[in-house]
Amino acid sequence: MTGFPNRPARLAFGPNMRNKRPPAIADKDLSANQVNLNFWQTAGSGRTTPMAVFLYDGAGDGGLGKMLFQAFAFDPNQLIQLGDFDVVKNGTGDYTFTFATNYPDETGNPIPFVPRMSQSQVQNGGTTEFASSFLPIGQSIQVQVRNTSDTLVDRTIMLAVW
Amino acid sequence: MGWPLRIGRVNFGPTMKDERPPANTLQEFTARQANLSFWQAAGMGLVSPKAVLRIDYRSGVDPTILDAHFAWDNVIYQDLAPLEVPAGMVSIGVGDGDVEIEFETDVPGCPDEDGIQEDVPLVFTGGIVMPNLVAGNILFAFSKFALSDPQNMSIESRDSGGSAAIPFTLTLW
Repeated sequence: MTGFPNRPARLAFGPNMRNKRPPAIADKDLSANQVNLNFWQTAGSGRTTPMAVFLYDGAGDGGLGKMLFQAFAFDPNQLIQLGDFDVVKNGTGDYTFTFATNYPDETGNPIPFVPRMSQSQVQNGGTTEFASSFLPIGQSIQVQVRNTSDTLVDRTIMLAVW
Repeated sequence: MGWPLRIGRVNFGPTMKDERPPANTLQEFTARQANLSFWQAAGMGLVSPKAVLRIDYRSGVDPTILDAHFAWDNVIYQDLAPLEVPAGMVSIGVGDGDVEIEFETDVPGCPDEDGIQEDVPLVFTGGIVMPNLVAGNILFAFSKFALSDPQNMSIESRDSGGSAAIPFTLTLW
């Protein structure tokens, strides 16, 4: 299995390595222990890390909505520019984030991706305003921000997607 | 240069190629393994939280950090001593009813790829606060998070019964 948007298990990184010979110089010879530890930590973190995080200002750009920050585990070359990701402001306090059906892995091959779960939080409101991220439908995650009067309001939200 | 900076794949060097086919896959580190590892590490470096903290916060008691994990403080991991403020954080306290946390503006002594130690700016973009109800509390809890600048933040964590101080887990990007 290849990398993001796949979540490769430890086995995808190859077998447990062994030293061909004991490392002669610790800061010049990469040892099997170092490689195995690196693979273990990387594989483990790769299972739990979000696939994408967003900071979206629902009131930005004169009320049209504006992406302030975005990051994708499957885009370590940072080719997806701000403004290129599909986010639609359905109305006041109602935003839908839609992923493509596939993204290229480290070899350039398209790999299917479907969002599974998410967390969201208002970044510039009070304790009377709440962001709710809905269960994904297909490639999309909808986030709504409401106040305690059940009124939709525009706020800046942080959204993490797995 | 890595944490607390977010670096891209390009910082890990070019896509590697095998000089020759590996003779022994148990003893020879291949280009495929290197490229996969770099891709994953670079990708995670863009989306991973920079800090995760568990904070005890109750009425009449100053907030205290029970557990803290910082991506840039990874040389040696040690549990915090009681009331200890971890390196990288300036202060944690209560102001205007909110928990206010201030971080340093930079992390000193970060080694770059040449081993040279230098100060690296510490910048946060946002956070998610999850109130952690104490066992037996049957109410629901909610929270507020706000950054006044990249190092200063305020958090509210309260329950529906009106208690204004509920312990919480804070995840920072």
